[in-house]
Amino acid sequence: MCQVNEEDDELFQSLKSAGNKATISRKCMSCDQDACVIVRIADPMCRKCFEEFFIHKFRSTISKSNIFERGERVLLAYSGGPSSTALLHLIVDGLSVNARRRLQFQAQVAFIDESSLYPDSNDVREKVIDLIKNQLNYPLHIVSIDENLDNESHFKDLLFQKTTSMTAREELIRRRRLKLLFDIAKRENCTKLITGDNCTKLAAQILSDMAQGKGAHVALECNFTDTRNDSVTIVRPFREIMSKEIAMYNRLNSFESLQNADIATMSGPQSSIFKLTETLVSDLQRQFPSTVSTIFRTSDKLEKTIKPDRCDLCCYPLDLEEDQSLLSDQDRIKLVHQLFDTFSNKYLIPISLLVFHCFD
Amino acid sequence: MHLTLEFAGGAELLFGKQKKHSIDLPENSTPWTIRTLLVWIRENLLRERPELFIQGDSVRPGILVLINDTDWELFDGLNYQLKTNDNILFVSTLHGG
Repeated sequence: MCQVNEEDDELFQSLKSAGNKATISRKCMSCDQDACVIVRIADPMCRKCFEEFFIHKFRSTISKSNIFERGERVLLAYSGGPSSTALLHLIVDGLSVNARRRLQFQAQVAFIDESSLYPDSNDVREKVIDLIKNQLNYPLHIVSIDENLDNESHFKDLLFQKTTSMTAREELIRRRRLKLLFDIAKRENCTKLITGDNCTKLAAQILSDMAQGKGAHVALECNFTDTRNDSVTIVRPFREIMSKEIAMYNRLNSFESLQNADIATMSGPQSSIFKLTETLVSDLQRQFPSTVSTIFRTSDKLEKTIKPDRCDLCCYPLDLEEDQSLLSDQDRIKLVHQLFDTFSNKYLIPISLLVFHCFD
Repeated sequence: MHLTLEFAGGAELLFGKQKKHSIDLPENSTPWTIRTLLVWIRENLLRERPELFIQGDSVRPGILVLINDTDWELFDGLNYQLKTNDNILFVSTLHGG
């Protein structure tokens, strides 16, 4: 069944030697200046060309899609991490009066304060307020990850009492964070939610989701527009940008990320399924620089189906029939209420069905 | 030999949360390279969990190394010979540092 074709083998060897980078020119591929970064597989670029390449990639992804209407209210999900920091600055530049082909939407910024989950990061909130409100002068909505849970149940306590694995914790935080972002977007009448997901992270996420039995949703998860929520569309303008390019762009522009920690920080490559797939992807990427794009392009070809019934927790279309639900109605409503109720009930999506795959 | 080391993107958490380190490497019979610098870092600077920073004789994949703000892949990577006052930056591009 598995035959090693000699031609493939040659290709493999050449890929491998490309990975060893014996002969990469030190001159920029487009202008002959000294290069400062290698992008894509082996393209050296100087600082100026790299920045143009980076900004162009972002702007053309947005303009090709043509999804933003003039004056549309848009919410930018800012976590303080490197991707959303770069994204924030690109959007601020794109909206500024002097911008060439100015972006035409109205942007607001949302920050989900997760500092209660990792105590080392308690001054992030102040730094975010200072950056967004005082320096950039954008409307900022801060919601704590604990917001409006019953007094007796803090999200952190729930997280640590009800779940035992790092995978479950990461996934629960991811869903709650997204739910809060959707709630803010709805409250502020925003119809788009921009996130900073980059393709390196998405590639790891795709494999991690598949390993957790969420293969049916992979296509939506990495799509440029994600319409799982009928009133708020998620937009991912960084979906074709690598985390290395983001790190380089931030460094060249001295943009500091404000939050580098998350719940799995310092916990090692085997602490969760996501950490494991992320390690796999970055290990492979070092040897074979086309790893990320291969994973990403493959999942991009999957069919995106939107069925009317959605999961209460992650908003993804259901892949179970209603009578296959694994929990009783009462338990389900209670559970969703405990974990995900925010603001007032008026903003809640009508509860339809809980899909068990949201937990481990 | 005097060098500036910087850690960012979460890598600083392994170095007592200090982002910038000014260091002086002792004289060595063979020239200092990134490879030998990593050994020195592991012995002298790394506070905890060395496996989150070093893998084999290199940095862990996902950690980007910049030599004077230039991608280390343009300088032979591990074999780059360090010069006085070089600035070496280690940025973690992994999610959550």
